[in-house]
Amino acid sequence: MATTGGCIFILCTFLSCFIYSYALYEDQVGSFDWRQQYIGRYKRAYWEQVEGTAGGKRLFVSSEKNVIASLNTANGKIVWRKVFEEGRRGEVDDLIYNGEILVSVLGGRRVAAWSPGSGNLLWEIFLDGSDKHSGVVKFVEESGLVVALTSEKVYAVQTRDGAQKWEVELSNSETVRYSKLQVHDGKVYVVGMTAGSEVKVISIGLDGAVLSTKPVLAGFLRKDTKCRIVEEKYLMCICWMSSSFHVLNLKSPQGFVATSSQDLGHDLTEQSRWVEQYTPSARGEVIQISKDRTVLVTVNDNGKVSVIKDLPKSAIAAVVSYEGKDYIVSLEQTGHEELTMNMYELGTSNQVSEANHKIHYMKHHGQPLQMTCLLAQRKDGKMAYKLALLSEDYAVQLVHKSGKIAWRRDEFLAYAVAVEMVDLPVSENQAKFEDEFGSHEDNVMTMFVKRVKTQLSQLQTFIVQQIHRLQGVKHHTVIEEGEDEDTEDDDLLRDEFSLHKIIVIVTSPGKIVGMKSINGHLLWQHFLPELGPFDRFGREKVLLHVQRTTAHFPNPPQCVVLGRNRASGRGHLFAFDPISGHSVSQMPAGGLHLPYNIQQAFLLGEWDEHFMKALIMLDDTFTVHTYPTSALSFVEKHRSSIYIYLADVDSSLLNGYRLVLSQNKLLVDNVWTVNLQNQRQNIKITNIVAKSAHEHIYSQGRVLGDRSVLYKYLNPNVVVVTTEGEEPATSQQKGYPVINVYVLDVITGHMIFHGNHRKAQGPLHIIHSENWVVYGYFNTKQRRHEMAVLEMYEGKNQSNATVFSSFTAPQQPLVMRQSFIFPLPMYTMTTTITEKGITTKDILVALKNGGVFTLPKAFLDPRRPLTPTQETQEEGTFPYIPELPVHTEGMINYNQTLYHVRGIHTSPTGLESTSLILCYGLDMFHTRIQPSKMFDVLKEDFEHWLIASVVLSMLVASFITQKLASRKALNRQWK
Amino acid sequence: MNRYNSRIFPVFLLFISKVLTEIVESETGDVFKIEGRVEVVSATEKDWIANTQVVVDGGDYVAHLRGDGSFVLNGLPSGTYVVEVLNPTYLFEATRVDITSKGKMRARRVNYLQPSVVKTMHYPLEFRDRRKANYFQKREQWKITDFLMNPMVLTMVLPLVLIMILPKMMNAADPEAQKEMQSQMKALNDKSSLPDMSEMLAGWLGGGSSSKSGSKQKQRR
Repeated sequence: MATTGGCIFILCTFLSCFIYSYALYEDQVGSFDWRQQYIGRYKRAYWEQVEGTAGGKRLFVSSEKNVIASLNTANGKIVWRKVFEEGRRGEVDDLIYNGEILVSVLGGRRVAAWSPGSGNLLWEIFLDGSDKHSGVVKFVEESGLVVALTSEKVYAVQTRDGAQKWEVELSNSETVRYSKLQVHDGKVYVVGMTAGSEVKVISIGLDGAVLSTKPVLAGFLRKDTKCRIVEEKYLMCICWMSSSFHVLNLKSPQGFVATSSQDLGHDLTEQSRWVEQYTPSARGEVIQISKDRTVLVTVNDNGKVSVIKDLPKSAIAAVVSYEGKDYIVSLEQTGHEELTMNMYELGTSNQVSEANHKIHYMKHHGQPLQMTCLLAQRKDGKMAYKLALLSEDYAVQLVHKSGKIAWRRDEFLAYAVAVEMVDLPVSENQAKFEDEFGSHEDNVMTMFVKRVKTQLSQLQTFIVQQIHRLQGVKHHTVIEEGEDEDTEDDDLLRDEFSLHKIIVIVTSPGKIVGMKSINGHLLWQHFLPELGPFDRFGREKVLLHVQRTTAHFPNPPQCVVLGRNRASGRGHLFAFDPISGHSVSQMPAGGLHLPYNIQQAFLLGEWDEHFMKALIMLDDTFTVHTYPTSALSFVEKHRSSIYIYLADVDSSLLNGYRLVLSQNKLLVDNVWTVNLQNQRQNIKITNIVAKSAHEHIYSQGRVLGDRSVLYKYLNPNVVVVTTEGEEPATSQQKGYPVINVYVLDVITGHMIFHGNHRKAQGPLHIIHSENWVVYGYFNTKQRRHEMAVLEMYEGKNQSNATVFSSFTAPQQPLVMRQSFIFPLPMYTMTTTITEKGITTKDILVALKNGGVFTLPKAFLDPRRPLTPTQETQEEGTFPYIPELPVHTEGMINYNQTLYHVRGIHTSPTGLESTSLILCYGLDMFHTRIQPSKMFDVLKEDFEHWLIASVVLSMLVASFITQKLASRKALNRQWK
Repeated sequence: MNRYNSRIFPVFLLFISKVLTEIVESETGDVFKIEGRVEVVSATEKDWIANTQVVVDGGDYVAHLRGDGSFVLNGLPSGTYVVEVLNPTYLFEATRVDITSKGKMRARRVNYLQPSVVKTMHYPLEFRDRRKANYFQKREQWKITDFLMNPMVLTMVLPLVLIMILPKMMNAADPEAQKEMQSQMKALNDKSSLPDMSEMLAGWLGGGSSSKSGSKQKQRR
């Protein structure tokens, strides 16, 4: 009876400690976590206009990542931000601004108006038709209307409240692509294009009456011809193949007038493009002819194109209007890391001297792509400017006063595709320490000498530190300031528990950055314009591996990035030191363009003599390559223990290969094939998930209630493969989606487990760790999200306990499984990793409501009994409850909502209890979590003083009472 | 945001009406819209509107609020959806909305355990904040009451009471028993049975008489 009571008590405390296994204290907010919010690559940008003042305090932008935002131009911070749905529905096709209202088209057919000050929604209307083409909106200022073009209709709505005034249906919208809209001189012009044949111009009066529809022959028109409306009334197309400009007057569309670009003294190339202008200019359009030549062109009355200003050497230019005059601002690359800004008054070709400045432009931003400029009068009468500049790496910089950079937004960080955390190097002293105890060959004498030397040097540094301390406190407050990045170089040493790391992030624009985990500041950056991501099951993927960690002093650490070359589609590789950011020797600055297509790549588990793990790549001719190439001989030597598997997504075939040496080339030889195809269900492989290579497993088994041990099935060569398909409808039954989960050994091709979920669909989220697999899916029958767990056990006996080999693998393991209801939809999930794997695991779930939730693995345990018995209580499993608990205390990012999370990276620290996490997506969030609470370090609120004073007072009290007692005894004796 | 807690803390059911509200949307084609309002009763300022979103199925469809808290979710094909209001500070109860192919709408409570159970709710949707989200754990503070109510302390205090007060009470009652008790106390207070702490310490610290060690103790204090 007593033991049961005790058990229940223990169970209750156990449960309660799990339920609140992780929750922050309110005063810990921001002490070790940070969030960075991004917008994505800008598509449109407008300066705020305020009646009577210069304005420009805000910059309104729309982005490729389905965001509309307002930025404070003084510091680059986000004032407000609206994030829309991922995918086509949330795409911001167009954004216009007239000083009072922002109007956007979302997903081709939703028109919404926003208040520029607060970002509140004013009205939203939903238009008919399909969303296949981008929508366009324009203001009709004179009648207070907004006209909107969808792929099938033109609408006019009131700017004030969105009430519809009229609509006009466009003919032949299946073949004609209506993509241009212009309001000029009391008429609305709609331009529809049919590639290869004609352009259709429809003019509509402001009352909604179609005035004319005129088709114009346009044989030169191709799908990718870049056309735009110039000077409000001409349609102008750049045709680089015939090297000519074609102009059509919208007011009287008689026919295109061609102007040969050679007549203007330029040769058009495929790269020739319009330079995006956000504010419509009455005079001229800027065309970038080639990478370093820009011209400003205008259209004459006869339809011929003429050049107003030729800007050789100029990378980019923009036309700005200010006090009735037009200016052109251009940027020229004049030095290694220097741009020169020039401004000319149009018509007079006078150079404006106030705006002739040099701008420090870092090499790692690539080419400047777009800019928008604002001119204003300063108090002293001189001209002031603000210039927002978008570069090739998606970074945005604001240039003001004499070419200084006011702020920079690293928008490429919204495109992170691969993340790795690297330990900081140890200090010189600690490295010597490692050196001292690292070698086993020294004799006693040399070891003694080393010891004395080390201690002397330790004493020396101690004295130096004390002197420094006496001389004054060195920058400790600077970090708080945050902006200054250069002052912290000696901070790049490992802290006591290795809690601070370098986060290496690879982004899809080709930017690789090193970030300090403590505050999220960038340490170094590289831009590889040619490096693009692979397409893996429809998701972007770049491989990032740590080839050598910081632990092998004096060898520098090394990371390698493998992606796809944007131009050729072959492999593109870059190797660098993650701490300093320097590329390794003989590595070209833009990365190494490999002469083959990559089929499969992975890091070898073994070190070579320089503690380097080789990267093994398999190309499409089934030849094996390595990086570094010198490691090939090492791989040849170990080839008997290396196996490679490949998955064909479309045919759902899995193939296993072993390495063979033939004619001095390392080739592969097919060993096994597994066919997962089911023709009827049209099945496709959607995920292949292996275990994390960083993982340590501490416990080999699990102690049951009867004190026996259930051994885990710890096969490191196991992967989880999922396929998704659709069961076709029959006469009796409707069709339904199907999910298959396979667990197989990729060395032998041995199928360990196969599970099947009918009436369930993805996207599947999978975690594979130790001996368990957790996956989330959507149950279409019950219409809810569910999570299932598989755990594999060998049984009560352990076979090959010391070294695991797939060839002598244990018998078919016991697979236990259970599924649970998870009440919230999620973006992705992962599990925590700790140094030695002793700490219990938490499942981290990035929820679509913006939270990151920690769920103890103990809740996802297939051994949870339906009816608890004494034995299960002894084992410590909770009774089965179908719904998994979700509570706000488990949100590790508290109220810091994260949008469109693409991944969570977890990394161990020097403390067994603690794991670092980085969530990336549109926003970035870093924190540290302790799944089993902080058991290895005293809590920060540990009350030393209280305990010390209690002990002291007890001592004092014992002496006093002892004195009193002896006196009393003496008195009694005298009686 | 937090449906589990809605079951732990039984919160008043807001709208339980058995009447099916049938609103036919006169949209062309087969897309429909969901309309509703969000209200935060406990907020005094209006700034919650800016960071509130209404999402369908976790974000497949998103609506932002107008200045008065109303929202429209456009362009939904017929089907069944879970409509949620997301705000970092306030928590709302989610609603399931069923739209038939003819555009009939029905709002009902979300029940994942028994999805077929229908408890209809008011349509157009009305969301009211249920409570503030609590993301933080309360820091434990040292309080004297916590200390005194500790079971360990209680188990120590009770015997103390028994030892100190019970003999006194018995003393007053019976002189014979008092004598007996005194002799027991004497035996207890016998020097030889109880080692002298100061002497022991003095012994460890290198000898000396008990008076000396007493002065040492004074210094220590």
